[in-house]
Amino acid sequence: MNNLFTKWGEYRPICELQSVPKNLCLHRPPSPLPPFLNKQTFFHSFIGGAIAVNATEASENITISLVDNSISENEARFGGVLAAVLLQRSVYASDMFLSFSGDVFKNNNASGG
Amino acid sequence: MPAGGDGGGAFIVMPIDQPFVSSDLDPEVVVAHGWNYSNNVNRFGDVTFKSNAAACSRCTGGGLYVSSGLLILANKCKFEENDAGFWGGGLSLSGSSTMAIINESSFVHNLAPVGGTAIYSSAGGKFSLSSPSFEVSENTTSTFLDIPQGPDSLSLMSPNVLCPPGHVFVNDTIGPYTEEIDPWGFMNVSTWLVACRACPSNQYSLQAAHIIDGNLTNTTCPNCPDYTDCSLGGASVFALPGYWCGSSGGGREIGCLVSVGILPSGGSPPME
Repeated sequence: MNNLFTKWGEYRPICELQSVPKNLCLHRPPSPLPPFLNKQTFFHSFIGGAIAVNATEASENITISLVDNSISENEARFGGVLAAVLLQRSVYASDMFLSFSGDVFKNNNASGG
Repeated sequence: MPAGGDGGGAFIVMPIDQPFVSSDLDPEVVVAHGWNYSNNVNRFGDVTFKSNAAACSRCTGGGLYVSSGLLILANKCKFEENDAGFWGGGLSLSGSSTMAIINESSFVHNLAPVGGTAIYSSAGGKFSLSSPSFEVSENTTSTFLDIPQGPDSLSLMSPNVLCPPGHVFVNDTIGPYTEEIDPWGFMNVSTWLVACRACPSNQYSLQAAHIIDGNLTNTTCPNCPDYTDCSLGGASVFALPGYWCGSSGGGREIGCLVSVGILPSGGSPPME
């Protein structure tokens, strides 16, 4: 089972082209991050206010687990599918497990496009 | 398709669930329906969504937007003061198959102008609410629970509901009734429309309808007392010029004072 965040390298160009703050790309490689992200603070995501997961076309199993994170004061400035977390793979081929525990989502704003 | 900006706190689209369809399906027979949710699970435990917004005019899911898969909310999740531009102020469920099991979660003062200030679901999967708490803001006329075409097995156990003062509890749940839905054909569905509705203009109530552990204490909306203006409805009662009015009878009735005396509701003003 693969960790979602090992896939972030593919979206590095998006981060750079949009001139977004560096911490937007907090989760991308070089080194694969562990599947459990604890006590992190996320800022300035693309869409979904804080986190967007689009796995309708994912082909590999995905596990995301967030524990005791503060996910606050993000703003989604683009409509459509740009996301803090975004996967696109083949249809009907993935298992997906999302687990959130003790997290706080606060003052996030998805204004869309 | 979701609108850009759905999911103020989190926007989650799970893999598509495969439907169970019998090989000898008879399109003339009402059947049960279902999907395979194995390994397509989205679990929240003790998670708080507070003051998030899905702000565009067609956006849904102020706190959380989920499409497809099995959603589990457990261990006292909280949705507080989230705001959606369309429906689903706290939580919006989309996708034909999305199934939700919601245990001991609270929905407090969320807003959505079109419906489902706490929860809106257009999903067809099973939906279970166990020991939920709803506190409804007085700044809304919308339903707080809105499921226009859910499954026939909607379940609501031991809810706690607190309506604002001057509001009655209204449950316009319909069903189950039969609809034709692909790929199964005829199947039973239900509609849930649950709301706290303000007393209409020229009526009032100083009480607040509430449900505690599933036991409903509703309120009524009597006509506006003499010498008062209740044109705003709800719990808004204003004394007419020249009168002093206040509540009596344990806060249930309005009485008005004119010069030297107190008039009970429906009484006549004293002679000058």
